[in-house]
Amino acid sequence: MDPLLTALLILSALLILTTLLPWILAFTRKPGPAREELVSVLRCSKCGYEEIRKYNKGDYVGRPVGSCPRDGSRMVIKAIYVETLPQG
Amino acid sequence: MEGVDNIVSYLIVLLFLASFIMNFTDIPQRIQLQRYSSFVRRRLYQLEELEVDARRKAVSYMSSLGVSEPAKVLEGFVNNFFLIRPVELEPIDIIRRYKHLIRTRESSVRDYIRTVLGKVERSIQYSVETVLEVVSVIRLINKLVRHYLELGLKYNNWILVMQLAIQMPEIVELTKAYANSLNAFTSGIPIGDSVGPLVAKMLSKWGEPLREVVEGTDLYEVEIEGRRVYIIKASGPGSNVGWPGEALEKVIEEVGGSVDRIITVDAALKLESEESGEVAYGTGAAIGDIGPEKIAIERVASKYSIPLDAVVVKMSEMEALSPLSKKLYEAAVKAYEEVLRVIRDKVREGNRVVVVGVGNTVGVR
Ligand SMILES: [Zn+2]
Repeated sequence: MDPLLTALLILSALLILTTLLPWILAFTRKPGPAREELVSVLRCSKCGYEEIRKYNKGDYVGRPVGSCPRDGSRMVIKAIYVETLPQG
Repeated sequence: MEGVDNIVSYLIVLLFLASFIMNFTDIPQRIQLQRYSSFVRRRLYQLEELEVDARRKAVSYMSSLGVSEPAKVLEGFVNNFFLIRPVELEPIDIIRRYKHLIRTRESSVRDYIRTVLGKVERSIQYSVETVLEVVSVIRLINKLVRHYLELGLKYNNWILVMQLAIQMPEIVELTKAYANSLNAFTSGIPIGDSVGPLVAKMLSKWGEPLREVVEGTDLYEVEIEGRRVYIIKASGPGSNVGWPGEALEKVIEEVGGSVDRIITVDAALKLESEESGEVAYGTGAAIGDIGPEKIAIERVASKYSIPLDAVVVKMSEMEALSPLSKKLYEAAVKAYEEVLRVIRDKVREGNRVVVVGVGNTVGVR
């Protein structure tokens, strides 16, 4: 084979490969979705005792819910946020 | 050897032809126009899916509230209630004109929703309003993208189509953020933009508001280390931003301007290079409205020469519209501590300070 032709063929093969590479990589690397959970943080308005539980429908920050296990005072939802849990 | 020589000469001729086509004709651009327009079209399908999904969510939310013909209500909203910007060439009283137009639009939107919803809690009314607004934003984005694509194809404007294609990922991301926000708005979960109201709520020790200063905007009054702290935030827990500027004006006028400091707390759009959840402290009114609310804050602060501070929590647009992440919640706690530090350092004991929690108060009473 003519060395010039071989060189040309190798060069074009390389060019095509480099253009397709990112496209192929995009298919092979796919991170799994992270596990997320919505939680509500409850806080006792008297002693400051805090508790984290799963978000219930109808929860909002400032909503009075239940009573404190320590002194029986009113508990208020202090925060609602999404917690990202580690995989598995 | 003969055959190989032939191939090489063919190749050379081919190369020459190709370079001629590349350099002296529009054919490559035409090909690119096709490639880019098909790219845009694929993304457009994605946008349409998002719109259909958003509509479905809005309709099911409204029917869960007992609206009789939710699809019709949605249709009646999405293409209407536009706002024509006032003349900006003549800036005299432009804020008054803006304010007038914004309030007029607001009240006609509220009337529309009131008539279809009947008697419901105000927070639900606000949430329906936001849900409809979100759907009409998604609809608008879709219409605009389609408009530019069709315009580009009609006039063979490959630059326009190419530009559109390059912007598409960003547009899709933004639309996704809006579509995502519907979950938060329909179920009443705080979003990233709620950090301002959240900080205000923390300052008030999660208490009940003292009174409503202006429509949909509450005032709290607490004592922190001997300082009288007035806290202004939108009334929750429905999706609502209230009128923080007007409320601040009223509160400060009521005490005759004897306030040591005004502190505004808000979410701010981060730069790509910035970390989300960064808390920064600066000067000015931290609020992102068209103008009327912001200028009201600036005017009342300068009228009585009250120092105006800003505490911001940085986040992306996506985060601002998505349910609050733990990272941003922790940032809100940091912002709260920063506000406390400012109050301790810069407000004398026995004096007054006003804190304004700016942002959407969805999920925060
Ligand atoms: Zn307790």
